[in-house]
Amino acid sequence: MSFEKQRIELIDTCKNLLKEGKVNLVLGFAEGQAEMSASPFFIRTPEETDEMKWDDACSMTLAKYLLEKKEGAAIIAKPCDARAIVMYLAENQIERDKLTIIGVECAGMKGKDGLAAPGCEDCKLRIPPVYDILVGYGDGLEAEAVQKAADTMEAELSGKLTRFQKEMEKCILCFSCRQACYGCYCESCFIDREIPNWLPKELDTGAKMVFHLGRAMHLAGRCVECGACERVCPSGVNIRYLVKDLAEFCEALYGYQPGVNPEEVPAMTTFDMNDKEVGFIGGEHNEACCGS
Amino acid sequence: MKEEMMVEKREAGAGWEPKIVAFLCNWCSYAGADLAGTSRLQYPPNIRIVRLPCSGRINPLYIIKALVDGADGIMVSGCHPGDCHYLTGNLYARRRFTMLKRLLTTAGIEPGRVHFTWVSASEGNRFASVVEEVVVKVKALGPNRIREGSERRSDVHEF
Repeated sequence: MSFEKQRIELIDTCKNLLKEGKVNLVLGFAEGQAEMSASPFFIRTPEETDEMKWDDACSMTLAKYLLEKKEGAAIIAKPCDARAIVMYLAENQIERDKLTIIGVECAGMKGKDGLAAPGCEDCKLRIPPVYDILVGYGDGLEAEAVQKAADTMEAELSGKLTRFQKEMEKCILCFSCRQACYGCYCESCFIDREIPNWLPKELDTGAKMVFHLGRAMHLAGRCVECGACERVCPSGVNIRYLVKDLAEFCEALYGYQPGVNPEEVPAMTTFDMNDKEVGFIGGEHNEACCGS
Repeated sequence: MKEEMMVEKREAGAGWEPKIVAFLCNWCSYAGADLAGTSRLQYPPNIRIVRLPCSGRINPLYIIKALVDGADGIMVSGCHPGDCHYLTGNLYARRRFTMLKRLLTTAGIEPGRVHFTWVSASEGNRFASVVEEVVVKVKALGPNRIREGSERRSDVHEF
């Protein structure tokens, strides 16, 4: 068990950073209120670092707090946090030189059931793509790394619609997924707007579909697969399968992988004259879009 | 009245006609549709045209909302790549539509319901033939089933 070793090293690192005054805040984890849970911890003094938590329950994505604490913050970044940070840098939301990233070698997080947390089940990243300081896990990382069989549900078209409807019926439109998602940082979300009003007054399955399809579209080519949406959902909606499929499609088509290189322009904010027209009338490669 | 319309709309059969929303860009496709009209070209009357400044102006939500609210088919058309009135609007739109179609297919909407194409202002013939193609494909699929089997909203939008 080297989470404990990693924790001691993390405390040491954070203490030094705060003592030296290089940062005025460290974003980390503290013991959560429920069992086997962690809550975000805003560490401002060297003494507070001792209360820091680091184990396999720290699955929460902290990156979103950086949007509020833009200067002099340090963050404990798992690979998924770091990917979100890369996207913030690529989208000009934060500045790299005002930020200290304490990367952690990640063995994968566990949910309350002891299985891999959503987002960790088939994540292969162990080292964050960007960091200033790296805190290693030590020996036994691969053995410890949690794995769960990926969702390989390959349904027929009619089955796909049924699956989508089933997921939508579970949704209670609490918008937790949006609040937790690193990518949903618009000051006014389309679904909250009154002009135009995308959300009908009667909140039925159709309204949920508009929200989830709209959100999935906004995350096209941006999702870093941290799994926050599924983790925070009170009714167990899995919307990740839609976005995940889009991410794979985007990578295959445009060769863009979100959250790897901050210098690279995100796929959906650029174009190429020779982009393939998958699924267009008269376009090539139609079979790639389920044979239209 | 509304009830009757809903029933009529959802019944597939000999008399059923699909309702297709067409989003056309002002500079090429809308002019192309105009040309088809002034040239007296026949094409099926199933499309309802929404004119927009550019295919890049088409928010994917327009398409999502139209489908969820009961449109049987969607057709989107803009200027050919390289001919955009705003130079690059349709090139950004192309990526967006490619992703949107994939998303809708994953969610279970038949690929044959959503069509993207390019029609220039001088292609009245092409416009008529594209509409024909779209209508045939949507007709073959039957009414939009995205809301079938789930709770429905009481006020159904009429196109």
